[in-house]
Amino acid sequence: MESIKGIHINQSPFGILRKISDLISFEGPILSHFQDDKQNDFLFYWVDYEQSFNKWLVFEVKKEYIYSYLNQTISLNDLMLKHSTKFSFLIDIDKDCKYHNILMTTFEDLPKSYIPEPDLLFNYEIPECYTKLITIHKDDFYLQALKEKALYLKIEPIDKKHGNTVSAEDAIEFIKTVVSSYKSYVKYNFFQAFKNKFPSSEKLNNAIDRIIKQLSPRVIEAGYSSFMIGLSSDYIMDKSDSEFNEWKKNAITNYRDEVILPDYNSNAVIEAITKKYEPEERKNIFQPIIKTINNSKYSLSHLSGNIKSTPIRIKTVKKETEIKITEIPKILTQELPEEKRLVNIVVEIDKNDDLSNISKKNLQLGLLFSEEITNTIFRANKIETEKYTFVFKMQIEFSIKQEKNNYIVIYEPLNIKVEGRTKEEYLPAFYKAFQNLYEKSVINKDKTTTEYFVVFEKIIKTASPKEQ
Amino acid sequence: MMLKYQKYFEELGISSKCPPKKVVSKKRLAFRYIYESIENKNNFIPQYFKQSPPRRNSSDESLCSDFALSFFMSEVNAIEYFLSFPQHIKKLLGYKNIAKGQLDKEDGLMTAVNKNGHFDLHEYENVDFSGRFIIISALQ
Repeated sequence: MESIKGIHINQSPFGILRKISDLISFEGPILSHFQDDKQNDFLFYWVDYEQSFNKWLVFEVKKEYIYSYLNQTISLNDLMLKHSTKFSFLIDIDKDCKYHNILMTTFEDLPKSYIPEPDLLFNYEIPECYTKLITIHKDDFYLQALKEKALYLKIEPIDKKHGNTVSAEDAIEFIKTVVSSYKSYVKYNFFQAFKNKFPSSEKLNNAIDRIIKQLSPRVIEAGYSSFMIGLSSDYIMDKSDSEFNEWKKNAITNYRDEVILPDYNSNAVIEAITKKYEPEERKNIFQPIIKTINNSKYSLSHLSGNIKSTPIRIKTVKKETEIKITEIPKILTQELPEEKRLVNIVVEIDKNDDLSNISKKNLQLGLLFSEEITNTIFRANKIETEKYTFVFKMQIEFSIKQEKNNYIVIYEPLNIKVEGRTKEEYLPAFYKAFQNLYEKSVINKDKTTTEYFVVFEKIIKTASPKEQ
Repeated sequence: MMLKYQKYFEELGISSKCPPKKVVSKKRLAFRYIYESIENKNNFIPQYFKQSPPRRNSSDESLCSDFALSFFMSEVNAIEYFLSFPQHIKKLLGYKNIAKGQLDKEDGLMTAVNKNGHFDLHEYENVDFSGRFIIISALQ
């Protein structure tokens, strides 16, 4: 057992504790809820055992956070690190439920393994004693959770002819602008974060559409005479795509930090934005917000906690900064992409010639027949991906199809579909998708990919990991 | 039929609560977490008799399920339940595989199946599961 920093205590620091219920159990409690005689709430979480005792991590939390945990609004990790008191206790409890070796410590001093993974939500039967309370407070929890991850903004008219009131048209336009910018932000950043997790671009695009819909901002607070609004993304109600929960939960606050709050007149900020985002994305995400900040009819402020917080005015953005961030390089607008064709050719070459190095001259001399085509079949006995060498039992065939200036590579048995403008783009993309699906299906035995497991079994002779 | 651990219920003064009231005897396909090897002698031993002390944090709770074996209704139930545990808990529990086998009416009393597809079996005396279950998948 690891040695942990803390203060040893001779007797129980709690009053008389009464167990309310076990929240997680398997062959005994894993997480239990206790209450003392002053109605303070404590959680006991099993963290270790030795010959004569089990070790429990004990920490105090407010009741409403326990309900939020049971309601899948927050994780066990959140309960510990965000919603408990700073101090926790490690207690050895023997078979007669006597306490020994009580150590007062902090979460920072605990072994990392004691802290559950951030995205693990409560996924068990809710004990009967909580169900009524949870139903009563469900709306409160929901709204409270959304408020904790919200973006609060205020616009105030510059011309005070109508006092502090903002025209309805301006208010509507303002909301539409923020929403549109936020959706573009979600689209681009989700793509960047998870593009390699999907076996085909079609599946990735479908997921992006779903995530944008799920995270579409909701009004959670509003205030008038000046126009104040709190917007938040609902990451709670729709339980699908739960593997992206942590990302979804933080999307709006990340947007706030990256798009609303940065000092646009700082060179470091400009550099970071232009490095991370392509011109088209900058135009969709940043330009509308910069135009809102620089709007001649109203000023924009950010409120840090809720609509009652003190507004902090967002500094106007210099014209040259706006240009730097939002201009689209001329090269992209003027140069048309080179058009390419797929051609099937029959060439006579010398016995010892290597086709991959054949000169243009020899190609012209040896050309016997050519035919323009829109798709072709690519065959492989083995493929080399980043992490593996896959040798196949027999040649696999995947089709390459040309559509405008794009090539689409399809391998139907595994439902893989990737795109690219050049061979240097589409082949690595295909190999990557193949490798990812192999790991998910064969290595990790992910239940969602069971159907592909059979295909891999059928086609792969050997899959040798490469030295990393 | 007598339960295998009936004498402990009496010794510990919990025979009025154990086994629980709503129990059934049925023929049923069942799934259970087991250790690395199917031969491990602890695979079908209730928590109370395993080497580590029974996991308890309150003296006012019933020990009843400590004398029962945990089962799931399906492989998916078993996988999903295990996946919902933090990694550290999975490690402490020590289970490595899921095994499948047939439970018969003569094996014992089964508690109600919960939302996660889990139920307890209180074995009748002389029931022996060795050789009756096979490993079907590894736990992640």
